[in-house]
Amino acid sequence: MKKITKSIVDPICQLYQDININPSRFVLKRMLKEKPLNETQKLFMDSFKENIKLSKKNKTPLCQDTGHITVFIETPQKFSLDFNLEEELNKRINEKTEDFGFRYSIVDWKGRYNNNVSVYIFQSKRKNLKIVVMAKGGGSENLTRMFTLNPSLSLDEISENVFKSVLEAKDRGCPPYILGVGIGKSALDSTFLSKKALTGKFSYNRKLVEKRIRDLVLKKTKNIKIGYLGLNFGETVLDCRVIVEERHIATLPLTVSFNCYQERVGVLYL
Amino acid sequence: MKSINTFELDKIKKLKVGETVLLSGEIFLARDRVLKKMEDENIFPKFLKDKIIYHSGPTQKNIYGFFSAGPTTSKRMDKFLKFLFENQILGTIGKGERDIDIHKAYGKIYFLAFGGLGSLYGSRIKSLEPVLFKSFKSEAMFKAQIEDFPLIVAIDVYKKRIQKGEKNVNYRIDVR
Repeated sequence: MKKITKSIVDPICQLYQDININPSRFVLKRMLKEKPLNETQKLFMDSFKENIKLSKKNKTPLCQDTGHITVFIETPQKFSLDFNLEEELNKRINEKTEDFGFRYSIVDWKGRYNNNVSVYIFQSKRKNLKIVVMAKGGGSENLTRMFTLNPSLSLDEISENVFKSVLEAKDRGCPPYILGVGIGKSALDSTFLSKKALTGKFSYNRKLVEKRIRDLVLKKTKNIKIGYLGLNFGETVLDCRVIVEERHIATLPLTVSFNCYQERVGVLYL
Repeated sequence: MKSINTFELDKIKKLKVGETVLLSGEIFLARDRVLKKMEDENIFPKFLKDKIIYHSGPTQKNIYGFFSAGPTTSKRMDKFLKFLFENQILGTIGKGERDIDIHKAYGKIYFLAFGGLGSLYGSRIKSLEPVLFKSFKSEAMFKAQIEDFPLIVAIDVYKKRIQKGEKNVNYRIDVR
């Protein structure tokens, strides 16, 4: 039996700080390959590199939108939890937000600000705890699209909806984008799966159908002229991460989630 | 690339779409909540006349005194442009596309800042103080002294824009 104790709270807070200050290695590797061809592109690439240096030096977040924090916890089959984890995390993260010099980006209907988290706990066959923390800004979150499709659609037609979502997104969510695509039993399931896929820390693009959708999406989005921040250079989509699970016989719910190029995701094993 | 100061109104008005600039001087930070409040209650402080509004919600200062303050998506704030332009602001800074129709009617300038570069823009803000609705925290209006903000002219006063050939999309409630 794995006992989940309050000792997991501080490492999660620390991870939240780390992912906001250190750039995603995946994104960095891909974006630095691109060679600027004109003054505007050069200005962006130089600014992009300087931003990384300044974040490290000044301990400031790469983006001022330090995000809505989502915590996914994959537990062993047998586990115990005898305190309110979400409450504990909220308390500590709100204290730490002040210390880190981050932003309180969540607001209630009375206009009070906080940095409360969303926690999702699910069982698995693993022996330890896997904790994935994703901090995601509002700009890319606003690009999320959920479709209730006809289950008789082909994979090509399914991918077309993802493609159109990227076209519609234009440059509003800080491209290059990472896409999370989820298909499940309901609107709720597909959205959850698209977020899980987006983290890149759970199994994705493994099944044949997932790979096929990814390939079709990447092929369709390859020549979209949005590019880095809409400057029409560089790739518009860096990765398409797909999780497909079973569905109701009458439905095909599809959700497309977007992450900006400041991908802030981290993982802990405890 | 041109270095330009916010008090050089003539120079700013002569900028052409696509030009890159390093902007210095005084700007005001304002985003969703403060702009809604201002429009709802018809509050327009005189100090904003001929000034540039930067759509940004900065972080708090960290223990070393540094903060991040990159741009946020302009599209959401398009609904306040008529109010701002009628009250004679000089222009705006934000990220992503902006309503071209309203710009065509008023001939104001829109600068693109690079999204996701909060540390860079934060480091180039030399002073930052809340001036309106301080209780709105990062959504308050701030006065900022900036130095060498890297920007691109996305819509110039001649009503040309960098994102070509696309009309406004108004077929759904669009916050994106």
